[in-house]
Amino acid sequence: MLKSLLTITHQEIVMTLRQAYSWITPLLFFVIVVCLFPLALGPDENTLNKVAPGIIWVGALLAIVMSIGNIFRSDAEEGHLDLLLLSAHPLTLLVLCKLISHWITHCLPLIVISPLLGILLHLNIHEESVLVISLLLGTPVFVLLGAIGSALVVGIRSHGLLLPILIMPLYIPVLIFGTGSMIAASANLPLASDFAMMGALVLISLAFAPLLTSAALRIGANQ
Amino acid sequence: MLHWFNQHFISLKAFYATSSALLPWLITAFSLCFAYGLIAGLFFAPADYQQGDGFRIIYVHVPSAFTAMAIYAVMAVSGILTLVFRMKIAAICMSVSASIGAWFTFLALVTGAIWGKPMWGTWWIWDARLTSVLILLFLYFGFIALQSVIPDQQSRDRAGAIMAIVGVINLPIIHYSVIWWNTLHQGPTLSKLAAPSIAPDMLHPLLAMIAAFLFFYAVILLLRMRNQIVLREIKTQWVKEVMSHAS
Amino acid sequence: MQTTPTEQTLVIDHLRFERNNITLLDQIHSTVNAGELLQVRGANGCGKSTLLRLLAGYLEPHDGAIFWQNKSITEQRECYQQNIHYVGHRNGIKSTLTVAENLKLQCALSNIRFEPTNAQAVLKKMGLQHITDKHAAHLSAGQLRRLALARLALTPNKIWILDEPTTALDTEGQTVLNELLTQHLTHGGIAIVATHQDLDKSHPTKMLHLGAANA
Repeated sequence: MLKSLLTITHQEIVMTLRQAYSWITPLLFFVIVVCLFPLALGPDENTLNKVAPGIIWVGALLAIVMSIGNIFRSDAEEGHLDLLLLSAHPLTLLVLCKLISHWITHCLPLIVISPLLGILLHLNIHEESVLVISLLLGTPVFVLLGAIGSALVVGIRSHGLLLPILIMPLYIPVLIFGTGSMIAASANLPLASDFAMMGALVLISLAFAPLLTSAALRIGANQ
Repeated sequence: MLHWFNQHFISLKAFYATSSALLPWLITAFSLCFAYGLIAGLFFAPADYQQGDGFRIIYVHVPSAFTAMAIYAVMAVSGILTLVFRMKIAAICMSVSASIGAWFTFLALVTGAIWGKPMWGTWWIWDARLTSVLILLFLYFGFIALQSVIPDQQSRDRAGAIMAIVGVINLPIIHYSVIWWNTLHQGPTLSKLAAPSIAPDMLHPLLAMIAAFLFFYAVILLLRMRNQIVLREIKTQWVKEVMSHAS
Repeated sequence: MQTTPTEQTLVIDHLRFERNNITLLDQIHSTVNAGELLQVRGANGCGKSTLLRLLAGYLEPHDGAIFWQNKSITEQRECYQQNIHYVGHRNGIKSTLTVAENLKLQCALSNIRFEPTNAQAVLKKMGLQHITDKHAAHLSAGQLRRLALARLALTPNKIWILDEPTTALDTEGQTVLNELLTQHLTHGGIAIVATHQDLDKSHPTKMLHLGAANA
């Protein structure tokens, strides 16, 4: 069983990597959005350093919102979703496999490139490391909650900007604790509480999101 | 017990009958509470020693904020009933509640802003409570938007139910994270809208107004649910009979 | 041909389904025993695909029920759905994977060990052995359909639900499909097929004609 699930995760990653644009475009989007801010706010080092957490986190949030809508789309279009529902594995586990592979292919690149953007916004080494850790903790929540929304809109033909409206309010706690940890880092305050809260958010969403996502997918097959 | 519920509330036809019996009582209760709350609150309650008569907007602001949150809770409970027990009546309750809840939330924000102008000197402050209410409004918008684009009735009910459940799990988390965020960013010292302790003369009209708002919600809810029931059951015999009586 | 109903009987009982207050299916009855094929016929728009999606457990009836092993399928949806092969209008083929990888994914979904030799045999049977490593995006409609039907031969499931399986298939492909059906039915499987084409007469077939129920 574990072997089959690993195979499924592996195949998902292979599929995404073969369609390079599907994971490179969110990455480019992230980079460009973050680079727009210095141009809009002016190049002052102190200002940029002060707003850097907000810029990077909102940029990452938007990039993930952009890509998460595709997580079930091709499956629905090709009729593969029907097969997932008939699988010998619980749908919840299949969803989890898909989410893990989505995180690896869509979020990990963002996290890898984020220190580079941190340099552009004049973050120091300590802030950079906190940035990476907070993104590592926060992005799984984005993916888990986003999957619920994505599954809810999967059967709808033209949903346009509906998905961001559905899921962005749910992202607020992660945004608060993610940027909070970076603000604490720049003020040399202890970080444990922010990280603990984000860890708790990961666990809560891990408990609920795959279940609700698979329930939403079954509803989507209804249409 | 379950049978009794089914006879009076769960089946759409029975609910239609029960609700028409309930409505006059609810309207009476609303009128009494509203009249007492309004008159006692606006004329008899003493003026606040700091805020003067400006505080009297509390009698609209707090009840609407409270009702807005209560309605989301009603939606979440109905969502669970829809999803787990496949109750049509719960689904109807959930979907018609959303726009009522959104209006109450909007009212809470507007009255909050009007209150804020004399108290803080600005229309808007990123105060923890106001921010939470704003996010609640976003959640209502999301729910309404989702339901408006799904064509199939059954899918619309169930998708809405999931969204309501997700929202209600998130709401406390959002609320506490916003409070956390507010303290982190050193919000204004005068951030409490409601005084920590309140004189009984002020409190009683407030409670009456909260009750009035809840009764008002119940009245509007029942009226809109009855419309929905008729729309959904339009092809059944009993609706045809009811309609022929009405005309 | 009437056999006594057993555990392995699929019973369709007074099924009614409506969408947006329009009744699509009403009073559908049938029983399908092990080893039988139920052919669903009817004009376009009479609800054939809907009935098949009901039988596959994707949709829920508004009234009536479908029984499998004497239990309504809505009460055992997850367990019931594991018995099903569904080939619908969309083939369920991932276009970014190769033909062989699609089969491998199917095995993983069915929790069955992927045997390359077995997969090769299946592909040979379906006439796809020469394009094993071709990406599914580059296949023709007929080849995609054959690949979708290869699932039937690859993993054993008791109930086959095929919605217009002969679409885009050439005569040779149809022969293969009939062979697959014969093999499945002789092993005690159940097949529910919506098609206008006449299938092989040798199958123990029941007919279900859907009338224009949308009144």
